[in-house]
Amino acid sequence: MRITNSMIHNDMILTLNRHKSAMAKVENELATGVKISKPSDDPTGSVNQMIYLSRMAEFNQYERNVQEAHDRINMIDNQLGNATDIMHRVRELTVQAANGINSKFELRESIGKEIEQHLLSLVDLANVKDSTGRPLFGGSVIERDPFTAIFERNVTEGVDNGRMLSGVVYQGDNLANSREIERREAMDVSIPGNKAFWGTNMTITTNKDSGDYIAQGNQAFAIDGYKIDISAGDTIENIIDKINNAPVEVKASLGGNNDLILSTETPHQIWLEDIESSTVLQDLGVIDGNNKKPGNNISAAATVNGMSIFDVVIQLRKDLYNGDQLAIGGRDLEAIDMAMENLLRYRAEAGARVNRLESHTERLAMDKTYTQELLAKNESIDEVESIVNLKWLENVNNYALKVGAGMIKPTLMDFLR
Amino acid sequence: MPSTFSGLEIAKRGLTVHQQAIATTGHNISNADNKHYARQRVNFEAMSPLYDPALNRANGPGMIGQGVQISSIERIRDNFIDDRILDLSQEKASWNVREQYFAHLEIIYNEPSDQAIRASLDKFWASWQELAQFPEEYSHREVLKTRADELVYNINSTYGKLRDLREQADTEIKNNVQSLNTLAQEIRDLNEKILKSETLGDQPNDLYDRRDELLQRISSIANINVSRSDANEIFIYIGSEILVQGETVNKLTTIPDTKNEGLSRVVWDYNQKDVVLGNGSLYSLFNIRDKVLREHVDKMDLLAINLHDIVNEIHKDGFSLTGETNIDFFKQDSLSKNIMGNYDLNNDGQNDTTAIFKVAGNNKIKPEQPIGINGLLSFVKNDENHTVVQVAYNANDTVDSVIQKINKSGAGLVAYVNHDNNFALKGNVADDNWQKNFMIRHIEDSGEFLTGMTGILQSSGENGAFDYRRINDISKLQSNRENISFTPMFHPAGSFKLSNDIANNPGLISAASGKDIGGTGDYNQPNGIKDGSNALKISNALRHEKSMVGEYQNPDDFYHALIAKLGVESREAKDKIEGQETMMKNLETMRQSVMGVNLDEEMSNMVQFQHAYNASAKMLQTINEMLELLISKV
Repeated sequence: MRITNSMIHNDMILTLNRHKSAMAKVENELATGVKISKPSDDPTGSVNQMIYLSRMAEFNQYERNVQEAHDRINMIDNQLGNATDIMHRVRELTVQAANGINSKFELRESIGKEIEQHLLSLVDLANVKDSTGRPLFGGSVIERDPFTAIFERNVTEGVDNGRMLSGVVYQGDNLANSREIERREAMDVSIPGNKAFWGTNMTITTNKDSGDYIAQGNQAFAIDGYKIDISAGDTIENIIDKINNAPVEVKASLGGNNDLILSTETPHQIWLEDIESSTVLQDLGVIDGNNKKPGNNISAAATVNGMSIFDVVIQLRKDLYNGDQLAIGGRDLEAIDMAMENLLRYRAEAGARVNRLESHTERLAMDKTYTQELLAKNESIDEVESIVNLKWLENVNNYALKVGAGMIKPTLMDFLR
Repeated sequence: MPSTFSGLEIAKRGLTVHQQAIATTGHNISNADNKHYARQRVNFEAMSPLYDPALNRANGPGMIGQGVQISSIERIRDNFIDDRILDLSQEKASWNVREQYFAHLEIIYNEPSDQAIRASLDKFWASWQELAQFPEEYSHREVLKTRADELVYNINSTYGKLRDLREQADTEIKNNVQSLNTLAQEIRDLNEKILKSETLGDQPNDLYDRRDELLQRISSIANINVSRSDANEIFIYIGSEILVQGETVNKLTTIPDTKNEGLSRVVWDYNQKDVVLGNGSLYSLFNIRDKVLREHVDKMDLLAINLHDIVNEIHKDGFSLTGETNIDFFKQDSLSKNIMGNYDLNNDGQNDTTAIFKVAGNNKIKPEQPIGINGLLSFVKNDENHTVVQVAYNANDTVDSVIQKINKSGAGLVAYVNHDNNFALKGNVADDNWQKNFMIRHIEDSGEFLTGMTGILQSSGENGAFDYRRINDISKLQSNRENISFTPMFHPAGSFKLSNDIANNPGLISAASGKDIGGTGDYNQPNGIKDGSNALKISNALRHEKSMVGEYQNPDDFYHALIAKLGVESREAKDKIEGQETMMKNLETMRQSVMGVNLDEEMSNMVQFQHAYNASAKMLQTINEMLELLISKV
């Protein structure tokens, strides 16, 4: 083949250019530490990169969610612990008051007054707020204190005791306040006050003869947030059956006057609601037609038994003021034990949730590390390899330059005189 | 008997011929670095000897040599290689353009990085998560608003840059047409000169070289075919039309195309017909402008309209801090200006189309629920012929499996189940005419699936079918108007923004869900400010649910696929270019091997010619001396 000067020249320029661009790429890799800067550098790698980066952003968000949930539940756990401590002291005082050696004056002035203070601190505790100012025990209600205390002038046996706490009303709800701690995995970070701060089982007796009740049209109501569908033509027996088969801690039965009796199996406030335009509960005389908002909506005609933890302590205080030692040692002590048991139950639940969150934090941290590692493997260069590559390219380039310089130089002209 | 001076004549010829040969060598050497120069060679020929066989021939020993003459000055060039180079430079030029534009695209998307659309999608999602935890806080609402703004800005600006790039491609097309015309004109002028000198019997080598160079330059713009079969004229074709024939030239011209947003069309000047291009930079520019960039613009539009619809659909069911509902989060004007969704597509002043993007059924269904009925759904593809696509369903199918069938059928729409458990159908990008983007074309059901079960159509069968080619066809749909979204104004990615409500008052961001009191079919009772469940629904729809963006499950999937495709295509262009550079280099080498100037060769030729010249001169001197001797002796 005939070789011409421009062929040699072109060849060399092309080769040198290729070396230069390969070296520039490796140098850029070494300077930035990453091997993917454009999708075309590695199409699959760059998409993986985007997926890993998005996943990392997700992990960071979930970590924040978990942290927030953890703080909140931890706080709930602590507050329930404090409430238990107070109840221990209340119980001690109750046992002391029940042993019969205290005079009426002592019962009222020393024990009763102390109980009153414990009662107030229990209410404060139930209204405690988290770091962002939201109540811990209001269910999903955050705009107001979950418990409102009512004070009234107290006159017992002719003695004016001034304004004292006479009742506590729950203003929260029983809804969950949940956090997403992983894709589609939510955790409830609230314990509604009408569960944790409840003392005894609750019973509602409607005092309304519903023996011939027949449901008009398809309707629905909710007990403790669980929806129960009523079909047209359902009788009171059908409804009782449906309630008893529902996964709620409330049982229904028919009273002597064919009235409906609802009672809880564990201490909590029964949360009743007619759903949408239904009127089943209203027709049965359970809830008040004028005030349908659940919580404090029980019909005035119905008999309601069951006390919150505050009611229990208020009753104890009343008995102390009245000097009724029998009641103190009997029903009060029993009620206090039940209330403490209930507190413990929710404390255990809070503890279990804290545990779950802690193990979840660990899992998240592991997933995060793993993804970080993938991310690093995917985008980072192997420095040793890159440096070796660079050196190799430099060498090749030097040879090319040397050989090229040698080849281009001599022509026939150099030898003609 | 030869003339006394015949020897002088031979020596003189030797001198002139070698002088010419040295001059040609000089010409070669001077052009050693000219890539398009073909080396020239002086062909020597012995003069006709004395005497021709004729009656008047002298009586003596015959055929006396008369020295040398130049038969021709030939250029050494292989037209076969030239034609291969023409072919390859067309292809190389088109990949060059592609590579260049893909590099631009990669810069526009700027992925993978923390500043582009992916990162803002991440942040947008995370802000909804935060808001779900702290729905009552204004600070988190402000953050969400800012992040949404950032996302909108990123999509708007990506769209704007894509538009600019299309404009740039268009300008480049016009420039290319102009230089093609100039080159064709130059070739025509050269043809004229070449023909004249050929008629005079010359070989205009340098003009040939110049013409070959121009041909190569033209071939990188358009796919030309060169026909050299006619000795007198050279024919240059683009497709089957003649660009240059001898001394006539047909020019190309650009005219604005109303069907393509006023971008240019390239036509023949004399008959206004489209130029059929097959390769070369012009072809590639058209491909980039009308296929690649069009597709990217469509995809940005698709992403924008779907983000808009996914967020708004859920947002409108939620409640603001102050209990308002039915608030738009993103704002998007619809194509249609009336409540029936009618639109004048062919621009004749008469509405002719029902333009809806999404329709969700009235009834709540469960994805896993068996449907228990048989029937046949009919849709049409998004192509020019409206090819019918049929999807059969039977009693054993679940809602989910029907959705899968629809999404895999290639019909011009996609199906999904929305946050409210309604079955929904969404439009997609049109394949035939971009103005028909995001329109649902045809919905028909022979059975009860779309009617009684999901509540989309009023009635079954052909008469109950919805078709976008009729006006007022929205009346065929059973769905409530709030479950129907109209097709957006052209290019939603450009006009997509936050709604005024949200931009002015982040308190209106509807983080809370609500209840339907009284069975109205719409949520009318808020759960209160503490509820963030609607924000959570939006964050899930953006990422984890099947909310369908085109054929992809959610905005993330869609965007990843877009970048993956861009990466692969850009990589392909880079690899192709590298391969073609090597091929081109090889061809150039082959060509240079034939026509290139080798200095050593020229040097030795020069030495050789110089010696020959010297020898001729010596001979002249010798003859001179001989004559001198003769004259002085006489």
